[in-house]
Amino acid sequence: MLIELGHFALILAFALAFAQAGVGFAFWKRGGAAAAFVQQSAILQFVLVGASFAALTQAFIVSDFSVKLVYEHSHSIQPMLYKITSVWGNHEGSMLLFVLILVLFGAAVAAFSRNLPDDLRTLVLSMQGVMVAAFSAFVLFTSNPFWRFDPAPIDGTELNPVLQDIGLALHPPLLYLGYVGFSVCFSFATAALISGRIDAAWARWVRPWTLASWAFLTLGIAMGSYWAYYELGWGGWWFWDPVENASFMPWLAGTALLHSAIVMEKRNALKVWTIFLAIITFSLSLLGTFLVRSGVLTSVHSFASDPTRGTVILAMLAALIGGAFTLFALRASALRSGGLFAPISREGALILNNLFLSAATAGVLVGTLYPLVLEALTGARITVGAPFFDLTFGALMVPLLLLIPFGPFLAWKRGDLAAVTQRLMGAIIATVLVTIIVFTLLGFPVSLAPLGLGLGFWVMLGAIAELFDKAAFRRAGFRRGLARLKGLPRTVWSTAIAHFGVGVTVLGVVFATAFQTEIVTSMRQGESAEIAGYTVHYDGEQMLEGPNYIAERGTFRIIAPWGTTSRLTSERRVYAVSRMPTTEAGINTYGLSQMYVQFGERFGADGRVVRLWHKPYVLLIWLGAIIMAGAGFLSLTDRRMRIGAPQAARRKRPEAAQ
Amino acid sequence: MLWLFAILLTLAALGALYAAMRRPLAGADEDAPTRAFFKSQLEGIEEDMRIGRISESEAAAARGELAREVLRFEREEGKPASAPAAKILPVLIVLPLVAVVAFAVYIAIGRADLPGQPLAGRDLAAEGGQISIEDAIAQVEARLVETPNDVRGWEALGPVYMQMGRYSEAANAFRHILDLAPPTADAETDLAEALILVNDGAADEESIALLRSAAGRDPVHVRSRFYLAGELTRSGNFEEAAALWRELLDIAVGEEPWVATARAGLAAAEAGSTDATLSDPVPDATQEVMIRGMVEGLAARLYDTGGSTDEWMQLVRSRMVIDGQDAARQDLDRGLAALDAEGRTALADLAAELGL
Amino acid sequence: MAMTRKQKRLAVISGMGLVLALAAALIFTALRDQIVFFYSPSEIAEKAVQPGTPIRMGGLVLEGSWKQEGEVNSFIVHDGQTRMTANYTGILPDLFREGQGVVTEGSLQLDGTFLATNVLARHDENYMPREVADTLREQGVWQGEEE
Repeated sequence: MLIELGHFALILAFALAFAQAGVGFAFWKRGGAAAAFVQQSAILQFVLVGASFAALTQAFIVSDFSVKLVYEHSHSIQPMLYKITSVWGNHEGSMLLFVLILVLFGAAVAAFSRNLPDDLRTLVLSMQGVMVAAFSAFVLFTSNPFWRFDPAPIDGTELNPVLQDIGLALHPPLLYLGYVGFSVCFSFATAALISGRIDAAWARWVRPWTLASWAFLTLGIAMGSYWAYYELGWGGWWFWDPVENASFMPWLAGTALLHSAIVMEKRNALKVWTIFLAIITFSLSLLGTFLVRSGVLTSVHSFASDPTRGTVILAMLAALIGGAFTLFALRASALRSGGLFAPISREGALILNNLFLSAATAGVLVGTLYPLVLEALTGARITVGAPFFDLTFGALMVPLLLLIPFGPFLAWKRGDLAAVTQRLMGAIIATVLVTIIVFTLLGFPVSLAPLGLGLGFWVMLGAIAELFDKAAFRRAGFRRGLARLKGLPRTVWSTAIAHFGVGVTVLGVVFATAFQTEIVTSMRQGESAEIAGYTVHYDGEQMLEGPNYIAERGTFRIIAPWGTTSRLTSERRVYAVSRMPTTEAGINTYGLSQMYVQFGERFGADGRVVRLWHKPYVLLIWLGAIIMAGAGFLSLTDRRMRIGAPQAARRKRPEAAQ
Repeated sequence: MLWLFAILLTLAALGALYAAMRRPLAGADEDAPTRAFFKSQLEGIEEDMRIGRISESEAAAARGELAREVLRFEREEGKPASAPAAKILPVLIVLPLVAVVAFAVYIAIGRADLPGQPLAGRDLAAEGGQISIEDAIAQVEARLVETPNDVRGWEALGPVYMQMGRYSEAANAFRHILDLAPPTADAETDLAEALILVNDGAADEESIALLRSAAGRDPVHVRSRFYLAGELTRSGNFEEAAALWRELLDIAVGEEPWVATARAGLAAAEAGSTDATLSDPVPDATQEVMIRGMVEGLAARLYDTGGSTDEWMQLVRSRMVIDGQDAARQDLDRGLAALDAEGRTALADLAAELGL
Repeated sequence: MAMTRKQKRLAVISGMGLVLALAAALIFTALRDQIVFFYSPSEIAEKAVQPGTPIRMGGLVLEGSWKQEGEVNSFIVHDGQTRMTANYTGILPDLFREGQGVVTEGSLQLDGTFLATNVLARHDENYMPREVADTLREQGVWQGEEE
């Protein structure tokens, strides 16, 4: 009965979303009962969809095979964790998760923005209502996870073994928190266009939502990349695959939005552009969903895609985005232009940031969609692979990375480049020194790698230099400087930390690409191989039985250059129900570097084909991303960011009244 | 029960909405948020000046700019809202509509009649008894209409059709398996077997070709050779048949139940090739092999994973006919050990009936 | 240094234009040089693809053609008409099977074989790479469901 109640709760939420959109758009100017209705309805939808999701999860936990989705994606012998993650390890369930997060954000806007002007909040929530109605209709009528069987099958077919991993518990929820979070920015943008209120205050109100979504998306992408790295077993962490690009484009656009919103908030400039970015970021998120769900592009990461349902998403995408841009075209010209500034200024630097980021977004978009377009036009089938993206994206990122440290030093309106360079001199000298040391250690290789490392160091040191400069150690002395450092606003800290994280990721990328070592070899039991100073010794294999699979596990001993020995195992599994084979790579971590072993086919009586990688400092890639996301969350705790929140406002209202 | 909860849920939701509308946010100052924003902007300027990000004069300029913004805001937006606050009544009409839409959609697509069936609470054995074979087949068939390329469905259906004597449908299922999955000797023989049975025991060209292909694919495949040898013997192709019978006997380790049949077949083929006419009736190899295959298969499964009382009874009965009392008694002992009290009684009754 | 309002705006806009033009030029040059074509074995024969050009080749792995010696693999890819031998050193994806679809990345060698640098994996037992499905449908080899 619970499962049917869950189904009913989802339908009720769908009906409420319709009512919310209707009432909201009809009465947004008049506040009062309509505003209260819209607000309450947004919160109720979260409760209802939450209950619906819980009911579906319960069906998976107790293996209720009368539910079609449970039958198709779970099995009674699956470990409990994977029974739960199976809920969203499939098309229908993941779309329900999408709706759940959509209403979560709607409820958050309703709960935390009680102090926004009534009309703006009502419009934002009405727009969210439109989206909830559209997506829950999509779930209910084309991809219903509550479909039942009568009579119920005896047992299920299992979750795709590749997905039976802790990664599935984290990656999709985080990614959706990012994707869907941008829907709030989208709603704010359309609300601003409808009401005509587009000013600095608007930018402030949107900023927390942009920050939160961006931080979640950063984590989601990083988590997905690490998951693919260890689960796919090819030792790669980024393939420029369409599905990856689909998540990366909203991230690039979102990063641009994060920066342009600062200009709008501080200087009341770049308004049209910021609104445009808010719309385009969410549009790219939807495009990502469409690409992933429809399978129009060949991807290594696609699961159970369904072209017919993809077409429905495409139609929804066209309606939402088309509507938003029509509105944009009608209203954008009426905007008053903002404050003036010189080309060299904080505004100028942020514009350059936006230019490079949007050019990179366009590059990735062109590269991702070009195969589709070309095939439609000429019938030729092509792939735009890593070389294209490495070249274009790399070329666009180099100047951006060079510029990052300058930005925070430049003054608003009119900056002085010479003075800034002077203040950055310490960082410049340090970067040159570090790069020269690295060059020397690597023996002057004829490649761009040391320059890439230099770039990473430059961004990191620039971020540190900014904090030092703001604390004014030189002028104020060490102790007062330390006090000032502590007293810096959290937004200043988070800017520096996020930029530092970018540098860390750049370092990791350069190290892992340029300095990794790889060998493919066949090893007999007792043989050993040398790689990057490590000795890998193959101790043989054994059969072993997991909860729902049988594995051949190879055991290796790895002797590090400094003499320590550690054990490593790598497996080839066959899952009991689906008879599907998977490879579980063996990974040992040494500090920030990793040894990565893939266990291949059998060779002779006791031999195995083995692929070994040494990946120096590869963990920096994801560490940098975690630092960036952490900085985003830190920024959210800044006092000034809570302007829309209830507590802060209650405190402020009497002050304002004075 | 479900309906009661659904109605309660709807009432609770609509009640919460009504309560919220009764107490709309008490006339909050519409412009307070914007003023709070300007205030924080001002604080930001002071802060920047404090930490030396901007100079005094820059701060003064920034304050002036902010003041202009505030003035403009007061002029444009600060006017009292012209529209009167929305009344509760027009919004109230929406509430019953929500309930009607929700219930209508649920009645259209929901399955209120189906209770949840958690695995732990289900009596699978009883269900196994309840679901008749016909129902199970119908279910698989329905699914195959949707996903005709699901080889597992055909693999489930084929043997069941054979057991039920629906040979042409079995042939169709086996044909699908061959189309969808890489061909194996077993799959080819299955199809040939079904085709032969459709033709009342006569092998047509296709089934012969399939059998030959299966025998060629797997050098130690017994079933295909058996059919082939039997068919060749019957059609008077004695030399080839004799070669095949010999091949079969080579494959055998000597203890297989079909060895006697193969010997007889070889004898018949050899006799046929020497005087070209047959005095002895040809042993009906096909029929024999098929029955034996089924019985052995059933025995293997029951010994391995157990089964229902009916299946054990079927095994004992068949064994009695083919291999005689001793073999049947062995199966009987095994079955008695495996079954529960009720099944034991039924099986013992059967044994008594058969005189074991 | 004192710029008028107009000059400032002009400087900003022309700077933006320059960056955008450079970026566009970069993207389109790269698009011309860095794309990889997808061919079936028949198309490789038809279009006389030059040895050494990086391409993707897709088709079905011929039954019984997969030979493996340690890490060195060779197998034949066919599309119902033309066959092509592919060599690959490394570990094949888990779902590599004879008789099933495959996409390989690499280039044609002078001896007419295909040297694969990468064999693409699938995650899903039921998944047929779209290009392969299309090609095979054109060649009439595979009558899968219309997608």
